[in-house]
Amino acid sequence: MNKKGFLDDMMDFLFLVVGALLVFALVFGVLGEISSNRVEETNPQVERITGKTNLLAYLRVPVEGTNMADLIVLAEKNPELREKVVKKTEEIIFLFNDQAFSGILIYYPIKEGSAQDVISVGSEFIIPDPGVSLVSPEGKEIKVYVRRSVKKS
Amino acid sequence: MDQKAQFELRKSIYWTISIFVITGVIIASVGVFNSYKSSLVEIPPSLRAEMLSLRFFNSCFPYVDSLGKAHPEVIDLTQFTEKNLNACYSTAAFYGIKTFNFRLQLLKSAREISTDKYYRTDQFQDKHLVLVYDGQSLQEDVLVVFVQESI
Repeated sequence: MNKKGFLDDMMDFLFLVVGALLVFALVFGVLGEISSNRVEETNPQVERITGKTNLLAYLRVPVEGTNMADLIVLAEKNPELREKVVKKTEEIIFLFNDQAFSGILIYYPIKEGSAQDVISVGSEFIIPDPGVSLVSPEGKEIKVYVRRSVKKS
Repeated sequence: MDQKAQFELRKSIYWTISIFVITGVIIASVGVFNSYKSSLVEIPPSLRAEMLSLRFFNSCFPYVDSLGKAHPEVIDLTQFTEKNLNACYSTAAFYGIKTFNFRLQLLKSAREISTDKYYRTDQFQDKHLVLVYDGQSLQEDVLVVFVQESI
């Protein structure tokens, strides 16, 4: 190996190292971005858990000598009780005063030849989270969803 | 110094530099991979705080009825004290400020308590709909959990 050969080999080696470092930087830049996205994606999942616990607490709220869950079931065929469900729900939303609990959506079982029977409280523009199921006296499913808008982080 | 000796000397210099550079690259790669692995398995503070704060409306201030049955998901206002809170969630004497500390506020009942290392430097807050027993009846309330992550 003469002096020129030595310098050639050294330059080749340095180019290889610099190239490898650039590839590493690119790979770790992408990995870091994935990692930061993961944290951003976890927060809405946490909010979904909170939304579910809030919904369960909402169903246990005492009202008229019973609780919201029973009142919702009884309200299926009783317009007067429906008004009470709406009024109490509005009170709770006002008290809560946060995007995490901005409304309630209740789907009663579909009867033959009629449209979907729904009680809707809160903004229509907020997509509801996965809810819980109650059982009507006829053994049919009543679905209750909490309306929760996504917080901006 | 003859040509062969010069050749050997340059070869030694070349490999010495190469070994240092290669070792440096390997150590840096291992370090970056380790830090990536740590960031990947790190639990976000909001989730940790959520898990820690579950106890505040499930078990720290439970309402016990006249039959002696505990209702863990109902907060008894008479139990909602700083003494009970600190018994339920305690932090280390010296480094307690380096971990989560909480301030709990019941909006409707207008009550507020906090853990012993809480200094009102909230990082974030969370709201929970809860049931409260005020000594006479059950009613709904909103528990606001203010989270101080670390000072």
